[in-house]
Amino acid sequence: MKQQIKIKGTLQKYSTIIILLAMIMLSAILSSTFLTTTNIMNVLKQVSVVTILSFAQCMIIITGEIDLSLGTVAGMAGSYAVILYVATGSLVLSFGFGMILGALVGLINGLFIAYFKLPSFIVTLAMQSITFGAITLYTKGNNIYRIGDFKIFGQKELFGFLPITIFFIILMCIIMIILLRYTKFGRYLYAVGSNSESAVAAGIQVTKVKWVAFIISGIFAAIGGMVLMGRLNAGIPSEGQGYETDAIMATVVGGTSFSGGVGTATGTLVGSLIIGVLNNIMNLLGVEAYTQRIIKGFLIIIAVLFDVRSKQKKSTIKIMSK
Amino acid sequence: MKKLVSILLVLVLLVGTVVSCGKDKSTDKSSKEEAKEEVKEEAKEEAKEEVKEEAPEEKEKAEEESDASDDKKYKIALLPTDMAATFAAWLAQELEKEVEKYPNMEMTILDSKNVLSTQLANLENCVAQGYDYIILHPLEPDAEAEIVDQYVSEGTPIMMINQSDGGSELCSNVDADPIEQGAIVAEVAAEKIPENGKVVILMGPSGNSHSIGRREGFQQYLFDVRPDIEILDEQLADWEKSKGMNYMEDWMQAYPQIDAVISMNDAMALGALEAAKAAGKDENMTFYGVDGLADAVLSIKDGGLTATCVQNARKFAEIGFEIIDKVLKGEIEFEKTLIPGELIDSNNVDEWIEIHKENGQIK
Amino acid sequence: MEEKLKLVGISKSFPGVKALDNVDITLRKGTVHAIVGENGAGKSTLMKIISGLYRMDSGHIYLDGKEVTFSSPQESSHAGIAMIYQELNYFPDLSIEENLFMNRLPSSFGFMKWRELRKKCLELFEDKNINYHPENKVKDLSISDIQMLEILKAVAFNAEIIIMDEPTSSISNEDVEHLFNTIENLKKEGISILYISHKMDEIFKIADDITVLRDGKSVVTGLVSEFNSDSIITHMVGRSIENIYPKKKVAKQNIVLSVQNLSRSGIFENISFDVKAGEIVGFAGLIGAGRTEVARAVFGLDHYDSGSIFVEGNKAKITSPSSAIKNGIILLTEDRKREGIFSVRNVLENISISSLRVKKGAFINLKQERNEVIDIFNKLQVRAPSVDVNISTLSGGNQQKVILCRWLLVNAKVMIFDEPTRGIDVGAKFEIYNIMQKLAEMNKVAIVMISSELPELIGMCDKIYVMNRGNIAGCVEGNNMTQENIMRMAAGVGG
Repeated sequence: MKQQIKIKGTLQKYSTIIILLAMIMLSAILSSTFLTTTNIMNVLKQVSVVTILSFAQCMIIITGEIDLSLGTVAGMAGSYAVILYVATGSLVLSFGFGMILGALVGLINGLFIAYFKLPSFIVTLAMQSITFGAITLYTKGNNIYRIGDFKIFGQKELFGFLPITIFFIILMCIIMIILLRYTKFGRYLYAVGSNSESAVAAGIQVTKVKWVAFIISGIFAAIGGMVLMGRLNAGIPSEGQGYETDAIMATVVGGTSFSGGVGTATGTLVGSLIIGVLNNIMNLLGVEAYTQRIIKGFLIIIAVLFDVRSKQKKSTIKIMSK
Repeated sequence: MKKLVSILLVLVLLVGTVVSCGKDKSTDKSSKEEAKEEVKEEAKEEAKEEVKEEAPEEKEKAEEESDASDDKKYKIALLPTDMAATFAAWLAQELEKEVEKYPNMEMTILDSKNVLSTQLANLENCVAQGYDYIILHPLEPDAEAEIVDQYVSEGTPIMMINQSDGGSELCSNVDADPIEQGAIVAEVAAEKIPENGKVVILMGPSGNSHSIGRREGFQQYLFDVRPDIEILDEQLADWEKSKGMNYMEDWMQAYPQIDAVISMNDAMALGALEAAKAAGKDENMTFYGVDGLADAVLSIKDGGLTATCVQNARKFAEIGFEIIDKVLKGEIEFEKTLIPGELIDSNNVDEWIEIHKENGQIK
Repeated sequence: MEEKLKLVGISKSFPGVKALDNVDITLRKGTVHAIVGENGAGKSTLMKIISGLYRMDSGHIYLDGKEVTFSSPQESSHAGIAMIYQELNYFPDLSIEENLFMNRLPSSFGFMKWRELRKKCLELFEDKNINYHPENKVKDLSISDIQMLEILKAVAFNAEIIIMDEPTSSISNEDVEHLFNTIENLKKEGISILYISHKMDEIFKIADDITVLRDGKSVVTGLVSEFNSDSIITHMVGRSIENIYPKKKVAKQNIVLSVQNLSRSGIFENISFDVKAGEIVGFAGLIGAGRTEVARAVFGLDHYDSGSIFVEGNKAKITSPSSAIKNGIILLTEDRKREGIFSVRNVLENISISSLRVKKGAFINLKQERNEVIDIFNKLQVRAPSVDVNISTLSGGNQQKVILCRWLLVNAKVMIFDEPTRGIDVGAKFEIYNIMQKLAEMNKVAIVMISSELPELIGMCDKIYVMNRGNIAGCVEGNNMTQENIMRMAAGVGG
């Protein structure tokens, strides 16, 4: 009996990974090109920006908040970094500047959300408009072209085989795993999201924790934005829009709970890959455009349903055996 | 209970963000619009007839007034779709430049930020504030046509620019024909795509009239003329460069041979080009877009994009103000005209780089 | 008297555990039947079977002599069985009338008939002689008011059997009296009540019959008058607990916590007290007297206007729980669910969270953390399969022990326990008393204990401060620590 429960438990713990593996297997059967190195690299490249943003979204959702400004912050910070690069020619300077911009937006988000205790939904929604205005104010609606070597942030291959976008996914994933699993700050994030009143009573400085989380989120968004612009080989502010919803989707498919306190970096990566593989295989198979949307929507619902159901089952078993 | 609430919240949130960031703004506003229209419909019908009779008198009066005070300037309002959108911004710049040629006119810009209700509110305010002429760069011409007709019949002349007039009978209209735009590029493509070539197609957002029109142009002047060409796949990339890139990456895996990318705008074509370059496959492919903005022109110069068709904002501005001048002088009531699209390819690209340098798009 | 509800041979298994094993209970019409047992004894499973939430594996339920089966709560509700849960279900932002009639709102074609609703509600209030304003929001009512409404609702919809799950766990003494009066009236109307509780005094006050459950079996059943509290406890735990309160005298030491003239306008005034190392100091008083508020101020959870707090002679600047912990003060909060546990996280994280605050560096040494946690987890004998299970799967008593583990890892000099045994079963209570005693005796911790249960305060404390309306009304020590003395001071009579 116990053994059975244990196996079930493992199954449930890795439910999203199982969905991903199942999709990969099915895709490999359906399309002979799917499992080629180039195609796998493509999938990873395509999900790179949204994955980086999803890590930030995951962290924020763990604290029980939400960041709707991720996409536009990516567009803004990425475009400003491009502008600075075109003006100065320094990759380091422009990359650093982009991150500072992201951190600044996070600082402002955090000020209103953590300090003044406004709902993050509203604040970051407003920040969407502010950040997009802040970049178009400068560009006057024009895009930035001929960005020279800035494109290496999105197009270079490291060590001759590893696309830099994939390197960024791995790097950001490792950073997020360390942050969530091995630091005190990470533990506080979960505590705050699980029950912020308990967190205060346990001696956690909730305001500070949330504030820092939003700053990190802003930096992640900026990095994602710079990768995006590098990949596009242009500075296009509007391209960032909409990424926040994709990031929420990947995060939720990856098993992060909207009520806060639950979620992992690896889960988010898997969630993002599930959506990436789905898009890829439908294109490889030439599924018609409108049908693609319907299938995508349903599969996301099914993935979340599977995840939620398995978790519900797990908890009922435990309660009963009390 | 808490869980249920949070799930509901999530749904609201998802819907909310989709609506607020989506590029297609038509859905939630149209109902509001309809209601408004319904209320005004009857009044409009009556007003139309009355005004028709009185109109000449008013015109005369207006003329007298303008003659009487020479220093009195005509107030013109420009209501662009979205000043953050590249073409709309360029058009606004050209119109601003053009108005300087008419010392008796001054122009104010009221951005609609890609929100139809904002545009309608701006329109209403401008009419109420007694602007002499309104240039409307409509977000949804079909939805706005009726109200525009009503305002015109009540005495405020309006021009719908860079979009169809949506069936409005009384407004002036300066537009480019999307079918023609597609056709211009299609003719080049028909020459360059090899025998039995294989192509992929990138479309704009579902239901977008420009995307559909341009596609029709390609149909008539490329696919119908060259039945040997095979369309491998056709997807909606929503005008976005990154989506064009993603689709192209996948297509290059799925199909061993792709000879050309036919895109309904430049951004998506350039995204596909970026992907092909990264895979080292761009040399034997040709890329076709529409719009002719700075990025496309530079790409043609660099040997990337093959051809595009431009909607020349300067022409829009020149012809637009000619009409406005005539209307304000009372010579005509309205005029409808189409600006021909212009092909840009490697032959005339330098010319266009100069033009875009002048209008500040290339620095 | 006639048998209203009869349960025969009820059994129910869940994977890995037999929750109920051949349970028999007979509820007589117009009586109160108490069901007691430790947490996990099967009380709640039994209630859920009666109300139709769970299906039993075997057994029979007879209602008025006829066999019935309930496959949903709606069915049992139609048969006249109503549940008053320990945790009340209500919509805080809706009005009283809406809450009362939630499942039967008068409407036509989907539109609300507000006037009819108001009329029905007022009729009901008049009938039961109650003074509420139907339009008031429920969130503005006290918990006992809401409980009253639940009972009212049950009665209004013709319930003949009411099941009450620890109804007094979150209401004040005064309200308990009110509740008991209501129960007496219900009995007179012929309504039968299944009453779940841990509290002996309550059972002897209102119950007619009693059944003791242990490990899913009905151990003993009979008239309450045949039992005394010792015999009931013995049946519940299955062993006899001789000395409930393990308190021993500890040699007096230096003063660790000294609070001087602490005030917060409108809440408490000029509170001064000292706690020595190894001493347990109690705080008694009615609910709302300001005991919890003082504790929260000392811990930095609430602010205070004036006064000072000294720890080991040094003035401590306490602005938040974080700074209190750094000063060596911790508080076991009164409301475990709201301000204690992190319900979606595992036991390990729930234990270590506060000790992380006093450790240096940004990273966690996972191995060391686990060792420390498992050590204390074993020491306190928390009953959970491992430290990796979710804390919400533990019983109340074990959750409380987890929170205790958390605070023990902090190595505090001052520990404030606010209602440490509320809502937990007898066995766990006894263990918590033992832990407190050991802390005082071995670790020389200065302990402050707040409790509404006078016997436990008297049994555990060296001295007891009694609060009344935000002031310290007096302090009793040694032989003066009697329930009468304390109650008199708490009520503000003499002193």
